[in-house]
Amino acid sequence: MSPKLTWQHQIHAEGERKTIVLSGEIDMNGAPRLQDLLHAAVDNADVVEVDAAAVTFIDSSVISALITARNTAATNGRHLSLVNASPQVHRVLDVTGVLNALTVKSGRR
Amino acid sequence: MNDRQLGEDARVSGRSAARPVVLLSQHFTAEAVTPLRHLLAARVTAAGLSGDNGDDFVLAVHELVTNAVRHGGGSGHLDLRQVDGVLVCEVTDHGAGSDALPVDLPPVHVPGGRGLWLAHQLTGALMLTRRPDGITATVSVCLIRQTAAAVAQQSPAAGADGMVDASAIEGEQE
Repeated sequence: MSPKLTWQHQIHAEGERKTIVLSGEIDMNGAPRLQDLLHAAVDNADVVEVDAAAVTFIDSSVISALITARNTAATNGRHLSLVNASPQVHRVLDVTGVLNALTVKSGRR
Repeated sequence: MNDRQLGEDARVSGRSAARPVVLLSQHFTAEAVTPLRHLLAARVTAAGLSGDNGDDFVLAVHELVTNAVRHGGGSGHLDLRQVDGVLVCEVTDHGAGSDALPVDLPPVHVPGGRGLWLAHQLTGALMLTRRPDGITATVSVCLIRQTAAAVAQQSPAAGADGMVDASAIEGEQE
């Protein structure tokens, strides 16, 4: 049984700013691909926004991917934040205490 | 154990006997994590735990399954049981390691280590048992209280009468 793709993404680039629109369910089997996607984004843009409005499921491995990418971005003076958290995403980020760290918008636009 | 006698006792007392009912028993590996979560969600909903409470319980179990795959030797076994009005889910792995089990919340800049915290917070009832050959992680949720709360939300009049809730739950259990 091979894992089916349970989530999709679209990238909108606008100058030094990228928006990654995610949809579907992302768990430990999808987190490595998300990690690659986020790292590629923060390598190529000063400001990365992850739109999670259509994300119906995340787990702790997705939080790991988001925090890792955010740390990498910060090390290079760049910014990654999550916007439009769906109810499930909001709940998971809130319970794990990373909601503010991941959703607070940076001053640089 | 005499099943017929248990059944008669249950009828006499007017409520289901405290005999565990197995709702799901499945071995899993990494590839099975996603379909297993979907199957678990269906069984949990069928047992009467729906909405946010159902989602929380499913995510808690999913974190235990993920933990077993990542740190418990790559595979494990999931058992979902109903004992009276309580859903109990046990996740067993065979990890050889004797690493500490981090249930505390790490600082925000640390990428990992939030799985067991989530399972604990979402259920309020996480139990970890270290066996000689691995870890058994158990979460549970009270079905009656959750369902009663849901009924009370939908219909304040019915929710005021606890007996209405209990009979509704027993009907669903079959």
